[in-house]
Amino acid sequence: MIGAILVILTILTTAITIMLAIIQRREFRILRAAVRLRNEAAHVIVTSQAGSGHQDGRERQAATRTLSQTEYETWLLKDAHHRRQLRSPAAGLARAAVVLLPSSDRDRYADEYRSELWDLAQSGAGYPQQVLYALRQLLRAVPMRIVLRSPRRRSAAP
Amino acid sequence: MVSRQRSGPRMTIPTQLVLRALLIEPTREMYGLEICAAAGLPSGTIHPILGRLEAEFGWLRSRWEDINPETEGRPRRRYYQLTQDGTERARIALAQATTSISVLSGLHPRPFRDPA
Repeated sequence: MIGAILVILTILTTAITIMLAIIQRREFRILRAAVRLRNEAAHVIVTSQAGSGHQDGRERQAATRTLSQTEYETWLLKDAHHRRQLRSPAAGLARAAVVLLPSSDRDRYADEYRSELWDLAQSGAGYPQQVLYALRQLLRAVPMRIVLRSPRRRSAAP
Repeated sequence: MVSRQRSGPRMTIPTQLVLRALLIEPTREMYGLEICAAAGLPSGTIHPILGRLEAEFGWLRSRWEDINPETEGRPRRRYYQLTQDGTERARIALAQATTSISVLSGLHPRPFRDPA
């Protein structure tokens, strides 16, 4: 009996992981397109600002160009961070765990799990530990759902 | 069949460990990983317990950390704290718990290195 439940859980987990991987891949494509557009926009900003700076001479042109370059680099860093988050298998598993929760609680726990994954990563936990954390959340998603849907539930803060 | 209403949670070993961790400093707010570390439990195991204590029994309250994630460069944490009533009830429930202390002493709480 327990063996059958474990097999079903494994199949379900695999199916969810594959589904999330497909979704992530689609998100990747959208993100990549956004980054390309941003890069083009940044190029346009640099060119136009440098062109309009003729009244204050070369220094103004150089400052404008530097500022734009910094902004551009910040964008790139943000994009790289976003891509790492999307790629992380732990983030995918945590999202799968959140999907199993009641819809009214998903936002809260999505933020909470993300925050804990971030803290884990910052405290030096590697990918395997992060995946283990997310797997534990996934395995506890059903008991968690039961708790959150309990008729005895009191009004809790969102 | 008569349904039995419990006034407190089932005092499993993880529940006792979580309550003990929260009772060390009942007025202090703690976030999930911190509670895990203080209780000596693996990360990612305590949310059903916290959810039950908060949502079903009202022993806990929680709130989002009051920071701007953009400025701080990190996501905000969810902080948990025992309510006044919850502190009293938790103390009584722990005192009544039948679990042998020797079982609990086999588990080793460890400090969690706060990345912030």
